[in-house]
Amino acid sequence: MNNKISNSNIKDKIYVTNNKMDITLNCIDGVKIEKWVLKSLNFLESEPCPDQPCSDWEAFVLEIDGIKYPTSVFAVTNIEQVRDKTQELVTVCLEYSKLNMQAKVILLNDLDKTVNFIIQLAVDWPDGYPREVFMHVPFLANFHLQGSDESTFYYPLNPISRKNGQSALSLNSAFRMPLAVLDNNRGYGFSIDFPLLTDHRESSQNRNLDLRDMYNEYFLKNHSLRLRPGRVLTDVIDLEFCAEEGGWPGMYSRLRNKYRKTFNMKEYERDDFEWYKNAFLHHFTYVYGKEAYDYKANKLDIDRLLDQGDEFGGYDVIILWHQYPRLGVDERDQFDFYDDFPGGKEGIREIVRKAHKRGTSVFLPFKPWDIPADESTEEVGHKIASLVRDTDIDGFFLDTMANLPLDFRRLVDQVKPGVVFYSEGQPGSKEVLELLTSSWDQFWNWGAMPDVLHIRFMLPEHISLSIARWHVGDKKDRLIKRAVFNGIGIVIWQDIFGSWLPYSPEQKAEVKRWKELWMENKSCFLSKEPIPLYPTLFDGLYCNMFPSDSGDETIYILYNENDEDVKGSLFINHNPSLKNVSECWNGTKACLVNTDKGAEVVGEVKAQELAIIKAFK
Amino acid sequence: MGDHIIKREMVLVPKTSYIYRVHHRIMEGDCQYDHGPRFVELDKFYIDKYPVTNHMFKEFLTESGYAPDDSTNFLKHWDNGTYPEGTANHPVVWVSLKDAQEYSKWYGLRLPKDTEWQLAASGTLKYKWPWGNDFDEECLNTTGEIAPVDSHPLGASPFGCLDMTGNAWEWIGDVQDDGEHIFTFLRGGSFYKAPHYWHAEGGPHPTDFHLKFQLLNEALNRNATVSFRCVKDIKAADKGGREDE
Repeated sequence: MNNKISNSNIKDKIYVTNNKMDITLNCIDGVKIEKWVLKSLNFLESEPCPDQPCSDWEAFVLEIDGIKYPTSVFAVTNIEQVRDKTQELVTVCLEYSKLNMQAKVILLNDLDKTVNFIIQLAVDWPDGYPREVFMHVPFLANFHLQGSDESTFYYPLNPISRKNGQSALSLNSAFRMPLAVLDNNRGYGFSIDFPLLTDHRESSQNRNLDLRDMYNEYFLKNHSLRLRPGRVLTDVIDLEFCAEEGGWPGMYSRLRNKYRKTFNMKEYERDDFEWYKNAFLHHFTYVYGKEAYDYKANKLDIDRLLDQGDEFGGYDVIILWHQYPRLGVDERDQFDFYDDFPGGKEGIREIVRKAHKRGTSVFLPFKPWDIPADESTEEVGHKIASLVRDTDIDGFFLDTMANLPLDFRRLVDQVKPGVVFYSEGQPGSKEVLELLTSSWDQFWNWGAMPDVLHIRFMLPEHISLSIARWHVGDKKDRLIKRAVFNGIGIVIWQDIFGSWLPYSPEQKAEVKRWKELWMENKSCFLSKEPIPLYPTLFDGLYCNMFPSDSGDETIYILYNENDEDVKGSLFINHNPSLKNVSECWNGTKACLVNTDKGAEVVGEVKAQELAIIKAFK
Repeated sequence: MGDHIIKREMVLVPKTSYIYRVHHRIMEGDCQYDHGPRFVELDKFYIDKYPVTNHMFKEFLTESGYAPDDSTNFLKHWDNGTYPEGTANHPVVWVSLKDAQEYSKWYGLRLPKDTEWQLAASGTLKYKWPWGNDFDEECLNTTGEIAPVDSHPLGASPFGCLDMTGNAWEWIGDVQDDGEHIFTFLRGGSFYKAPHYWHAEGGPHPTDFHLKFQLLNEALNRNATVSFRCVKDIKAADKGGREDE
């Protein structure tokens, strides 16, 4: 079938090129993607094999009332190819008059290494009542790397899996991941991002939200996007193809840089927050218990508490908690409760004074659920600021609130510099993350190793602290492992509102050892370019990489998910200038061996255990 | 209620046994106590018909000269050593467990155990509410403000106790020490109901519900909603009489 309408603008083939890609659209019979290749390398992505049916490269297929409509049923009514100083635009206009449907297939080329593939659709329903339309994009479903001996797909909701198939990367909606296919050996390939500024699935005709929740091959191959087109042409999908060259680490770095360009980092760059970078070990101090409270003296025994903390390597922050679950017996609110704290606010100030003497900072909680509904954030902010003035505390724990009202920040800043706010929930939006510089890595019971905290690597300046309040026994070991693997601190919480779940002496010693190692290698753990899930040479062996910003050293933290030890070449050292390696967690041997792949790090990692390898000059 | 002043009256709870089972809303931290079901045998005892009122507590202060070591929030609603006008018969609040124990001791009484309070409230037929098994607004205080202890005669328990739910919480004398924490229980619920899920659950509560109350300093141990009533043990010589079945 040839539905091409005679028009001088209409060509059989359209060629698009930029620094990294060559693309050919075939408009002879509908719209098909004939070629989409990485240019300089002649490394093919989507070029049909001779034995593949042409329909595999269709731009889209619609389904209405069970009947399928490929682009070949549409007439090509116009083709436009234009360019300005920064972009090139190709628009193929399609029309299917039988159903009053119009569509556009659009390529928007940045002339460098990115091309957006956009589909727009409109239907003028004969009876005026919209119906559901389902869309499948064969070109996307058949996306793969030809000419690659071995390639890997990275799905937006499951970029790298654990052995059980679940994502090893604990994702964050502020830093969504693309779909990607990359050559394992050479690192080349494509990523497809799904740019969209809405968070609400049904509110937009654009179905990028469906696509960016893709988590496996089945979804990719069988996607069917539900649409409700109206009379006006609107976006249905917008796929941003980008040429990748550095494998997973390169793509991760590129994405991080892309996100960071949009961030206002002012809060993270404040000199008065420098102290908080060293606040590695926090203690959740539940006041209604003998861990903290001396019932005979009727006061909190801060010295005894901090002495106990020495077994963990020393608490850097304590959070004094005495409201929940007591609030609500009468009308007193959280601020009244500070008046009634043992010794009153002066009692808190005395604790702060003693803690500061010992190098420990003191936080108080703020309960977002315990404020009157008619109170503004400014009114509450004044109360919070007064509390800082009265007690000289160093920060606030925001409990269930995963955001920070600007008024709180502004009013507290007027009272005392360097007061940190942090939340129990991990913020999932750029706007909140720009203001709230720290949060808990709270993983409850679903956290299994390896579990990598995406936000810790995407925004390393945002300080995360691992906590799983109900973990006991070997689950506490896993909590420690998770903190180590992610290169972050821990919230020690042993008295969970009246349930006493202490750490064992061995676990305390392990936390202490981790704190010491972290402190000795801060230049790596506080660096700007860490890479999660750095490629290794064993299945089931995972690695997070923390290169120092100076390039003088790199820490690799490995976790062996297998039931057997792994021994031999573990991974390739990313920085050829680092000529030495040592294992600094278990004391096992490690060395560098040069091969044609690069400098392989040889060592061993016990089954379901960690290893920490330091590479240095 | 006029100008009458309610005086202490006690009712007899005969010796009996019952299968005790108490519930509490399981918030974080749990409640380290044997909630049953378990078979308990209780000697007969007297229990206050009403919670201790402001007037009764003032009499105690006058008679005993009691002054707590830490007076923070002690009788916070009083002014110049006396209760506000018109509140003589309101349950006394802003008293800590210790204050309540001192009161009881002065009169040769004690605070009820959890098992005793539950029996006094529910009777041997184990009513869900003191007056029966169905919630009934006529039987309790639903005004949202504290009320005189004799406001709802229809709310009497099978043994004749009044005001056992929905007006003021009541201290229980069982103090628990699980090795790490010291706590006791509140019974009956109160006129005040905090708005949020994460707040302690106020309002009226059934006879088989208690609220874990973690003890700390006296400022926090005293509350605008917590009162108490007392129990009198019956001496061995007086222990004759009919046993309730």
